[in-house]
Amino acid sequence: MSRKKHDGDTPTPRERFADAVGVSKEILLDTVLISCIGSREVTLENYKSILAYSDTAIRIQAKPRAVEIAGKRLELRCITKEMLYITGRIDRIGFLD
Amino acid sequence: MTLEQLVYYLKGSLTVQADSLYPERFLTVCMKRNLDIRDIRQLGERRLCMEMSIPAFRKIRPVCRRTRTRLTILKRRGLPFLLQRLRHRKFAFLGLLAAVLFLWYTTCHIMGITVIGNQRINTETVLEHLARSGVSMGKSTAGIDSDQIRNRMMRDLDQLAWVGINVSGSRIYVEIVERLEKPAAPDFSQPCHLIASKDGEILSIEAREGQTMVSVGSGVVAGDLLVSGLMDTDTGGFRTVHAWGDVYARTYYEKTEEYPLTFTEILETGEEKTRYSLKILNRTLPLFWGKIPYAQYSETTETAEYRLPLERLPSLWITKTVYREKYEQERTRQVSEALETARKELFDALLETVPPEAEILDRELTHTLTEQGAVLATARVVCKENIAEKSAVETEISIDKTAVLDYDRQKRI
Repeated sequence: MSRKKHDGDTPTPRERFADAVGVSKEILLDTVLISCIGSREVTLENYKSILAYSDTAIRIQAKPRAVEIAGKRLELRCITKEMLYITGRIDRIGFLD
Repeated sequence: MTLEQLVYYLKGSLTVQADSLYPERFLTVCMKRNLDIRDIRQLGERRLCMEMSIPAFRKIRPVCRRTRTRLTILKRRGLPFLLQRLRHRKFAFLGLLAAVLFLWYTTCHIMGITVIGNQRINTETVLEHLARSGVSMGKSTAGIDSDQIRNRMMRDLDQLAWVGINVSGSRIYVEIVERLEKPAAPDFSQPCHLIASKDGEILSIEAREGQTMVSVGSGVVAGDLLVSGLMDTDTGGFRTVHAWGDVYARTYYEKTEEYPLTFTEILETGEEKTRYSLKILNRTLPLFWGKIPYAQYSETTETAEYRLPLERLPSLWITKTVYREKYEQERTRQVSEALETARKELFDALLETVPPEAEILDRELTHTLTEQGAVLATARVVCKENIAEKSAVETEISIDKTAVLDYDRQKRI
């Protein structure tokens, strides 16, 4: 019996389980956690790699989908294995297909 | 500077420029290897600029090779690079070491002792007692037991009522409160006379006890009996008393001096030399060479203390001595000029000998011309003062009780 592919519109069984037991979803699901402080700073935790980097757009490989941060004068202020800290004028944060 | 920046400064960091076909790949590999890079800025399409720690830079060579990146160091920053630049400058390090040692010495040792509040107790005595307890210039400030020193000083110095010892930085403040002096009460138990301490003319007599032997207007010489301690009255009989009271007399102070009309005057040439010397921690350092080039000179000295607001640093005294050249000149003067000089000099000298409690009634200056061409000036100060002085009564003298004192006889007549 083949596994049914999830459409992405409804919560997965894992998400439902995380909701049920009250565990942080980014840990249980191994997904990216994006935190913004206003429109000047953004922090990405639990990412995979950097796909593209320029001062107007940064693309980051993450689970479940790649993230694109667009803006002006973007800078990677801190880069570690677990966390990316980006500053600049952030106009848009989106997920890529 | 934030704490983070301080840590980066102490650890050292580099600003590097990375040229790569795939800068994202370079960043990803750096991230995977957990290399400490930060502040990444894009300088061009394929060029990045970033800050990097020294350990990260040491590990980055394989990453560059793998991602075909060329690194260029733009700037080195931090303490490790500064020390590397200064490693050949031994004297700079020695100076730094000397400065640290100096700071340590002046911080941990006594650099000054200030004694305040003492009037009768000599400051040197206080310092000597402090030195016995191990508190003196240059000694360590650690382990100063104020209570112990206070107890010891209170025990040794009788005139001390209280002493406070405060250590402020490397300066010791010793605050002294002296015992109140007990006023000396006259001892009325012993019989005594009042005799004249000086020559004079009696102006008033206020004898509170004893037999008055002189009358107002009479002249007395030093040693004359003014008020007797031996009394013999019809009602009380013979007895010895402690004579006391005030006997005011007109006294004279005189001084005579010869002022030649042709004399040698010492004048200043106008040439002067100023010499400075430093004094710190009881050591004097002259800031000049050679001797004073004048044969005759006068000197005036001024000492100024310089202190920084920091209590830990010792005081610096700068002594300024001005030497003024002088020369001798023969000159003549008029009688009036000689008298002016005499008036000033003689009265100044006389007023120093007049007791402060005496009241000055008059001043006179008389003069005569001598055959040698000089003015013989005599200055006289007339005063009113108490000349009564106590003198012990010889108790073992044989007294003829039948004898009648002169004063009593006069009174009876």
